Amino acid sequence: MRIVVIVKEVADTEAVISLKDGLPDLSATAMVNNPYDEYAVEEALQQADKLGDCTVTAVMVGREKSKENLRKILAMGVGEAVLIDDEALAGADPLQIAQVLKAAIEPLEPAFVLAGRQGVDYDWGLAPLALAELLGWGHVGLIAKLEITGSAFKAETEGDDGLLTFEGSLPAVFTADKSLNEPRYPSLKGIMQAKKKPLETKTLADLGLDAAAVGGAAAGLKLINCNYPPRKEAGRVIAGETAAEKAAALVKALREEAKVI
Amino acid sequence: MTKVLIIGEHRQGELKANAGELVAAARVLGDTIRAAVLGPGASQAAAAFGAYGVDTVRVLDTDVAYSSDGFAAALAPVIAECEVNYIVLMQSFFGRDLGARLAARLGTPFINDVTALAVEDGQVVATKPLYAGKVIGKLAFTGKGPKVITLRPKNFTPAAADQAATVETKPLELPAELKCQVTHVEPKATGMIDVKEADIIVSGGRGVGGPDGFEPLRDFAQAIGAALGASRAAVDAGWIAHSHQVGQTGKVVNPQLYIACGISGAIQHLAGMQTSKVIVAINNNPDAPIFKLADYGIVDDLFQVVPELKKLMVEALAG
Ligand SMILES: Cc1cc2nc3c(=O)[nH]c(=O)nc-3n(C[C@H](O)[C@H](O)[C@H](O)COP(=O)(O)OP(=O)(O)OC[C@H]3O[C@@H](n4cnc5c(N)ncnc54)[C@H](O)[C@@H]3O)c2cc1C
Ligand SMILES: Nc1ncnc2c1ncn2[C@@H]1O[C@H](COP(=O)(O)O)[C@@H](O)[C@H]1O
Repeated sequence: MRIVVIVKEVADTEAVISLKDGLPDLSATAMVNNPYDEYAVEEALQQADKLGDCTVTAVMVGREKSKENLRKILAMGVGEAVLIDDEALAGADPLQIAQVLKAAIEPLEPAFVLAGRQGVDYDWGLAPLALAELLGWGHVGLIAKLEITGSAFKAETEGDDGLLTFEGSLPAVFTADKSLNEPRYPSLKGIMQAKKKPLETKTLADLGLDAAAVGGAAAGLKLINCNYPPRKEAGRVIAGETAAEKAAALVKALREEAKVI
Repeated sequence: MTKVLIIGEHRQGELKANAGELVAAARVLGDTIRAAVLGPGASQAAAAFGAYGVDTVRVLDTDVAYSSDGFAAALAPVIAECEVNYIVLMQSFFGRDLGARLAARLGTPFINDVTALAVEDGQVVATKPLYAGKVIGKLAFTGKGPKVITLRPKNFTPAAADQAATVETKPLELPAELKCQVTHVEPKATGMIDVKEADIIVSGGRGVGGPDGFEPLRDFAQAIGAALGASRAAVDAGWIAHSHQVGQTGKVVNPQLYIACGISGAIQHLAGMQTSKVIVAINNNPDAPIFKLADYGIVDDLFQVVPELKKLMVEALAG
């Protein structure tokens, strides 16, 4: 049995995003595995342990240099990885990424797929749901808990008006929220082993896909330009001798200057 | 003629007030507005659309609380048949989940978490914060077919509900087989305001020192009708549940007033709250980076300040 976990690279959350000609320029930005995807990886590993006799495969649509981050996923304990790297994919939209993921994942016949709830870049949260739709599978987004029993699943999610329990049958796609688990750190042994684990690279042609259809040139969206949000100026420190005095001066300011209370 | 379909949200048959935001956005996009409401109690909720001038509402009245594949399958044929140009939902759990699934089903582009919409040179331009608001992007659709948009809450001035259209409802149908569905809903504990909905947020970080350190903040928040927020450091330490986390890997919030107590102001935290109208920081370290962003700073021990602030704010809000 196989579990697939899909992982994307994003700009380090510490990074300030540079703009060049009004568009994000990440050429000098450190890239990391999408933080939410680490919860997906952890869940895949824990589920594999529970289910037994299970291979966990990581799949990433990325670039040659993404291998470094994929190795980190392997170091966490994932068994093997597939990188889909094709120049034509620059600027592809999440629906196109989902088509690529489908072509890569379908032949692997996983019992289920785990993903992050959203990339902390464009916050789409779309690729995994689109993958489920394209494969004709169910999905549950933002899961906080997952139970697999045979070919059935039960998953919990924090919905808008309460905690939702979803039930359905496998195969399915699940996207991980932060409350799902606590991702492990790779051990030294894991890091050593990761170097020898299979990491296969594929192009669109290898997957039998047409670059003209799934490539960035055919994307359904265009980023016109980007700006920095208006910078908030530092305000003022409230003067006073005691905590009580400062609190009083603050409440007066909130009321008379800021007019928010 | 541009046709817009808005997907209303309701709580057991009661249409949510964010319907006004959906209508406001739809009016920017087009001239014919239709609505759809789905789930248990949908027929009852549909009637409330009349007040917004919407005269035809598609209704999926079913016992199934939610099924992304089922609801998307129920909507897709109508969207094709009516040649809908835009579909607008809220960026809530329901809206983002159904919107994404629907876009995938229709094979059409999706722009979520939109904070503003405009038509420039005949082209719809959607504004959306990227990288947790570190930059603000403007995006346009290039693909064909109906486009799906979700709205960040509280960014569109709600349309008034003051019209008197009679609502005609037309039923939708669930497919016979559902791949996945909600089988149980555990309602939220009452009295707890979510940080995403709150006008005031009292937020605590590592500076509160432990789970008990949140007590004075919770007290303060409850007394003034605020929501309780937290930094990731506090959440990861297990002092408070993840649903309270504000920031790049938590919730992005936009209240009138954000009061950060014992939070240093890491970039990932700031990304989640920097658009708050007024920011107050209470921190005993005058060099904490949060002061660079705060409108008002108090350099002091939060445990000294918070009880005083609670007393005075309760008085101020009452008077
Ligand atoms: C991938 C990734 C994603 C992240 N996402 C998020 C996110 O979504 N949200 C988030 O918040 N963080 C996030 N972080 C973590 C972030 O980098 C910081 O570590 C975190 O925000 C620090 O929390 P803090 O300010 O509570 O703690 P600290 O940085 O330790 O600050 C505590 C502050 O409390 C003050 N203090 C201590 N005692 C008192 C007292 N008695 N009275 C007043 N002040 C006091 C101190 O002076 C200090 O400034 C993320 C990090 C990574 C790597
Ligand atoms: N290029 C990609 N390669 C592999 N997985 C991806 C890729 N893009 C998105 N995903 C997965 O889909 C999730 C949501 O991403 P997004 O739709 O881009 O917000 C991520 O957390 C990943 O798990």
